[in-house]
Amino acid sequence: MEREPKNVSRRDFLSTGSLAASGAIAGGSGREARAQDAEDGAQSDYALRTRALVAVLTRKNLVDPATMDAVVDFYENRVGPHVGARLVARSWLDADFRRRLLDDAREVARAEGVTGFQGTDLVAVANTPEVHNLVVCTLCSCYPWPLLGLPPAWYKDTAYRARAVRDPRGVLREFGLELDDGVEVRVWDSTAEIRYLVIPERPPGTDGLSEDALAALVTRDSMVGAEGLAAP
Amino acid sequence: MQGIHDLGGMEGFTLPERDTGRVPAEEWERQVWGLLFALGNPVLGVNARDTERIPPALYLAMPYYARWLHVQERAALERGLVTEAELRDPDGLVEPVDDAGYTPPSPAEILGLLAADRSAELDLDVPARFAAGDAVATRNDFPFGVTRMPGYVRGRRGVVRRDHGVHAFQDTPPPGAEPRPQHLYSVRFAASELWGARGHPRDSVHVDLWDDHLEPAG
Repeated sequence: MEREPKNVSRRDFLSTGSLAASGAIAGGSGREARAQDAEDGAQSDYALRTRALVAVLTRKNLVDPATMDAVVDFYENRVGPHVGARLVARSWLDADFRRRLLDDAREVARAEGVTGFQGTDLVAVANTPEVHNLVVCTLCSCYPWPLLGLPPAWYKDTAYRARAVRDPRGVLREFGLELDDGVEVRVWDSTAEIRYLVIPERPPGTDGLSEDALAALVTRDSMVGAEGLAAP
Repeated sequence: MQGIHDLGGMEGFTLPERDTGRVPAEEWERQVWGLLFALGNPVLGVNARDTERIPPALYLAMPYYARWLHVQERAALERGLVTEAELRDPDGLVEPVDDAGYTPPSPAEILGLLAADRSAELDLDVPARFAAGDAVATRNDFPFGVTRMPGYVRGRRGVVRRDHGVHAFQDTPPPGAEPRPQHLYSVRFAASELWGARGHPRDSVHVDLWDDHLEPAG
């Protein structure tokens, strides 16, 4: 359209998170400030464009704003990491459940009522002292929505998508997880219809905790393999 | 087509810090996401393949939700649902759509869609060309249109670890051919096979690939 690609692309070029964060633009404080201004400008430009598109479509009765709100509410409140955390906690307490989850996560999820767009065809992989799993989608940002909600910005970032397959240990180190050389790293590039859930290792010092208490310890990023879980 | 979206293995990108806040973070992002399911995907048919066609420089410059804004804007303009003049002045005159009886998707309709049990596995009797343990090599194909085989595994050797059953093939078929449902497999590639000496000897990357991506390897 008319405002693209020229204005938007030039402004956006100065504003991408990865470029600004890399220092490619932000050389000194003045330049940092300019990059921040450009980023704010791009954000407000996106906000204006979104507002315009939604307003016109709503006025023409092509979209129901209540449906938009319901979608956002669904992904913010109905689904989310609390769903995946429940499966993980149970897998720590129930060896048979864990076996079934690793063997056929789709059937387990179905029995638990955990289905939906982007997540019905599920595979679970377990972290152990010997093996660490990490999930990425290099082609877009595929992610098990019914179990984890919508993916965080870092998961969708071009840098994560580019690097996770080539240098998983470096990525994990920058994320704060230093893996021993003896640990095997398996990266899962979820570019088809299969979605992956990482079962993190149960943190030490959690003997005797209930399923609810354990589930509360399970973080979103641990179920992607981006971090380990510390003792409570 | 190996487009800009095919990022696996590229270098020079700097990792952001892990964000921990609300997703989507910004109000406009939440609106874009809501619109995608209230109109963009179910009515306009917009999907991730459209974002792959965003010109490379623009693609890299756009944050995730801006790509979804971009493709929905384009689709609405191309279908004549909105005009550029209307988008410039959304509070001004809008031309009514010539479709008086139209009812946009309701919350209940769309929520039913989002929560539905939608397996992509097809209940079809299609023989599998490979089984777990088979050594395979990916075809050295450069198809036109869409491919779900990441460029970094093209021409590489791996081992089938799991058969995911029969799935619709998502690549653009060769000219004149019909898309053919076929088995989808999890294929393990040693890191050293993909990245040479820089691949850690213990590590591997597992990619889901279809029969048509694979050849037997001795």
